Amino acid sequence: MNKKIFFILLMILLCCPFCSGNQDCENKFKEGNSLYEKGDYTGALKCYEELIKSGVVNYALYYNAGNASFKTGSVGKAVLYYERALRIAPRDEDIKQSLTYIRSVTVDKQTDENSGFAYPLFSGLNGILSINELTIIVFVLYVMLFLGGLVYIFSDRFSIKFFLKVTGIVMLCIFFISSLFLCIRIYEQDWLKKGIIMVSQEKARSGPGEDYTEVFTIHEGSRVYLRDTLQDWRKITLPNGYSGWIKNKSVEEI
Amino acid sequence: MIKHILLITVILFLSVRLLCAQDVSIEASVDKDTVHLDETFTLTVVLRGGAELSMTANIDMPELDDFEIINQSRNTVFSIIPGQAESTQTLQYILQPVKSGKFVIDSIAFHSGGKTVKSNPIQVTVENTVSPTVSVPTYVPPRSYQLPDKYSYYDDKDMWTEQHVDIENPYVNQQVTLTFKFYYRVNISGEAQYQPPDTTGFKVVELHKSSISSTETINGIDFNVDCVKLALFPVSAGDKTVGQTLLNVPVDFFDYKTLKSNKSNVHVRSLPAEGRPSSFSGAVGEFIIYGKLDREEVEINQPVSLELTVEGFGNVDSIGQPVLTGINGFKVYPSGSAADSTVKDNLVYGQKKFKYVLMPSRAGIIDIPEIKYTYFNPGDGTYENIKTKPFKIKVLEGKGSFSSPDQAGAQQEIKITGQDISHIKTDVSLNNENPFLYKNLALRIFIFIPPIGLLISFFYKKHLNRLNSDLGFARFTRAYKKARLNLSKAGNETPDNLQFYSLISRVITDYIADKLNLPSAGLTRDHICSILEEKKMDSDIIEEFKRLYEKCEYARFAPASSSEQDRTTVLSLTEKILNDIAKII
Repeated sequence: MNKKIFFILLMILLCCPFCSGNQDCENKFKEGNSLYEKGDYTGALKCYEELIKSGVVNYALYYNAGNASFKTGSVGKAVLYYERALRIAPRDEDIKQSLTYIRSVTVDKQTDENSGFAYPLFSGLNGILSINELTIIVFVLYVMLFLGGLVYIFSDRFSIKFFLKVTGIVMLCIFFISSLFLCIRIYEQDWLKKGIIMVSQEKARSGPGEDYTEVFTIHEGSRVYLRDTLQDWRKITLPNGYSGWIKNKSVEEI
Repeated sequence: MIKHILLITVILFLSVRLLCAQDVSIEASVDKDTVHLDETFTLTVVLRGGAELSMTANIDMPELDDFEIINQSRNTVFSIIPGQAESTQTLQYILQPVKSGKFVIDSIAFHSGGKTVKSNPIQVTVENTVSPTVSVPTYVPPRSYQLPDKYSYYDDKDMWTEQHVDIENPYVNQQVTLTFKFYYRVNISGEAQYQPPDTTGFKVVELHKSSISSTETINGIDFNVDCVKLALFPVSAGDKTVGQTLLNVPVDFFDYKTLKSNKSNVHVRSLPAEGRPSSFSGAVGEFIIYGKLDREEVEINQPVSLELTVEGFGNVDSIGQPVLTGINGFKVYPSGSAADSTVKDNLVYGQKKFKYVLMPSRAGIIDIPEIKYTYFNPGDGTYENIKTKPFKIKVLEGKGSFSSPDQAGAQQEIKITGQDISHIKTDVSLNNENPFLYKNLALRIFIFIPPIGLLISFFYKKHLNRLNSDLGFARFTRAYKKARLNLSKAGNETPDNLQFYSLISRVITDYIADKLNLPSAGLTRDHICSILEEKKMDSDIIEEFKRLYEKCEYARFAPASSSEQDRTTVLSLTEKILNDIAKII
């Protein structure tokens, strides 16, 4: 009994600092929203960015920061925040609509990656489930398979064993498919890094230096794949296959 | 036999000589002796004679400098009747005069078998005028002339096309019928392919699904005629041309002959401005109008559907929307139109239906006056007014709602007038979210637990199964535990010396029996000692075991002599011996 009380007290003590911190964050968020609604977009963006810098990760915060960025004319920043918000909440209609709209006003034409009915299958259900949701699904299936395996080992009844065998095969298939999707998403997240151009215009060169030939010009808000880094330069690749080197500070990873 | 053959040979020889001795004759004629400069005429030469005619026919044609030979052909008919063979050869020359005047075609000489036969000369008068009939073919063969079955030469006089329009000065949207005819009197080895003319500036309606075949007699000659009719509606005023119609005629299995028709010119007049009422909406033709209501009694705010039909001869596309004026007590919503047309007596006949949704705004009997419509009659060149009968609708008080399917027609698509980003999210609690749960260390460690757990469980279950099924294994496994249990039982729960020493003596005996899967009842002290010696047990321990065993035996028979201290010593000694034996067995 004493152990239980001690445990509860410990949890409360651990949670209290977080609670108070969270309350401050809530207040700051509300302050940002209030400034936005009054038309002070710069002030609102400042509040949102303070929260982001303090380590708060929340889709609504990113989305609101994207809105405030767009209203202050920072298209690149707006796209960046929308992309981050969409990564957490891929089915949110507001984020999708705003991002579609903002892509239509960027200088460079952006092809919509999510087009085509087969795209979710090849992209690990991208646009349907967030990477966290997919992780939870895989985890739950894993635990269920484990528990089912335990029952199967220790049970002596034929009917239970038969039931577990059938459901286990089905669950195993779902588990493998989900795991495959998760692997694709992790690969895309950790290896195929994406970035957004943050400056109004940037000239991509054939090598990491000002002396190299200009190969193309890219504009604010465009989405690129990030490759190698060399000193202050970053190699980027466009969805159409063009690649070039731009200054590292001109691009921000999503 | 030889005699018979000789006889037949003589008869045949005589017969051939007889056949060769036939007389020959020549006859020349023209189909007309007076022709115009632009006309052609046919000179026909008919040779009649014996069998040698076909082989030896040698004709001396006079020089025809005043005429141009357009075409020539030769046809031979050979017939044998008993005792007589006859051959008829017909030569036909289609000639066109090159100048006017009176010309004589000299005698045509024919040499055969040393004989010369001449035809009579023919006089032809060529007039320096143009033929009055341009569009009608002038080629007229002699009336007695019969076309052979396999007549197989083609020229413009055996096969030609023509097209014409019935009205050359139509009004805009007035029907002009374009008639295309294909005349032919020769066999065609297939179906002619029709290519419609260029009809830019006209709306075209086919008057027949396929061509109509008939027969026409021109100058006494029967021609097959295939006719195609199109209704053309000029869409704007001005001079317009209907292009040539092409016809690909299969002349033999591999070859086609392309016939081109003439072009047709049309001058399209615009509709007269004089007398044109303001309500005129473009209908040209001859029409009537009528209307019907889907019901005559409704509640307020319940829609009534009014259908107006304009029907008649003319271009249905030109029928514009009737204007509903003077309808009080209703809100009027046009809800679409549909047109349909067919062909009656080579004229396009159609109807156009206009639907309106009427929403009564007040109760009572509401009159809808007759609805007027104006069309242009191209036959009279005047604008004519037509009208429907008046309507009457009884509108009742009620709580009707706007629910008719016809309501859809009155609705309009929502139009996007502007675009912007969506508004910020305000009613969301700011939970800190870990965007990458898969990077969580605890989660990564946990991944290894299930496979290890399953492996352990699997082997544990296997062990349990063996314990249940293999008694020797179960005794072996549980031997030490059972011995310890007996030992503690002897120490704690046995006040009686007899029971105590009985238990102590069983501790070692049972342990060895369980370990070696032997019945404990049959194990004597000597037997146990020999087992221990076999297992190379230290002799001191064996001696100790012997002393312990003897002490137990003695105490069991004289239980009163044992004190509490003795029992403790025995317990510890037993425990020591058990542990020593457990190391070996």
